[in-house]
Amino acid sequence: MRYALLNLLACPMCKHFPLELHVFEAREESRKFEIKKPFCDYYCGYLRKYIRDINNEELPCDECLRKEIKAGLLVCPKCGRWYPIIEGIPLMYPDKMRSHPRIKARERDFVLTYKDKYPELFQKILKKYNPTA
Amino acid sequence: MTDTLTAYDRIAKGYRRRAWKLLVKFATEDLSNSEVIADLGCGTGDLCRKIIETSPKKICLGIDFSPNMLMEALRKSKELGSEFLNPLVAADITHLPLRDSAFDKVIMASTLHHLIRKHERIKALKEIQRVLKEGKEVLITVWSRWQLSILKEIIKGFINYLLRRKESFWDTEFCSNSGCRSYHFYSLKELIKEVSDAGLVVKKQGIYEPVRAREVSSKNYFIKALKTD
Repeated sequence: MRYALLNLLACPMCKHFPLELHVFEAREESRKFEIKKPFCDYYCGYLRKYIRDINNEELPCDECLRKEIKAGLLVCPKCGRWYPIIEGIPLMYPDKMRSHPRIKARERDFVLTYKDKYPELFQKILKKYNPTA
Repeated sequence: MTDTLTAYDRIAKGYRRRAWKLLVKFATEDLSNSEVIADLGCGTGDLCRKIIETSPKKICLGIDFSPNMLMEALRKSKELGSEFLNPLVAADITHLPLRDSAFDKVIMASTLHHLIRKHERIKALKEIQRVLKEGKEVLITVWSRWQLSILKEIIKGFINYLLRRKESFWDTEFCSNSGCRSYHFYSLKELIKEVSDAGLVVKKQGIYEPVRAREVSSKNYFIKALKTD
């Protein structure tokens, strides 16, 4: 995913916007994007500011689009639910679907891969929901 | 046991859904406008890629509940270099992970009929109402119940209903090697009623039969509805 997706994502359960992003693995591209500024119409996930509060010239849209997030974590600051970004795709299922064996297996692998690299962060989020428990 | 997610997750490799003309036309009628579009139940993302190819000013977000479908979609849009215009999110249509009033257009093709509980279908439709901008439209298609090709499944549904295993006469499942998927077979009147109940204003409705359809079912109902303020 790109940072630009934060312009659209909200918590599937409590609908809070914007979400908090933690990047674990990212890749930077060299290509140039021919896009119109602002790329996002409402919220800049890269600067974590609303578009209306930013001067158009200061928007780093090109720099932002070159960064691709491969793995990371989305956290809802209101209800505390968390959603993994796995192989570039955010998994944002509602509570009842997270027990589905196919979803749970993916979320469990994600936790096991990253929890020792980000111990404080995971200690906090796993209190809310822990697919390895 | 019916497990629509697993059934779709297993057939993701090689899965393709035609980008129906009806849908592409709806998405790209304002060709030069920058618009944010959502395709709910995007599968391997064929429709979004077609929309972006037709009008590169659009951002087309794909939502599906099958992670494998989305992996395929991502791989294909990367090959075209258009993945930055085609974000993908794994989610459930009854709980969209999207902010209010963010979309200029929403498309949901052959997806709503997988929810066999009426209250879930209404919930999904209300979610569309929530994420659409005011004055903007959604286009929905579902399978029609009046088709000979699915008669066997419909009869199976009736029997299960009589045995009180199903909520509606028109609920059934399709099974193959990959597993079983649930379906609710719509009448047009019922579709109009549910869309209206969710607070959307119906603008146009009818039958759509795509040319050269390879899908099991070829007769679809479509409905275009508006979010008012």
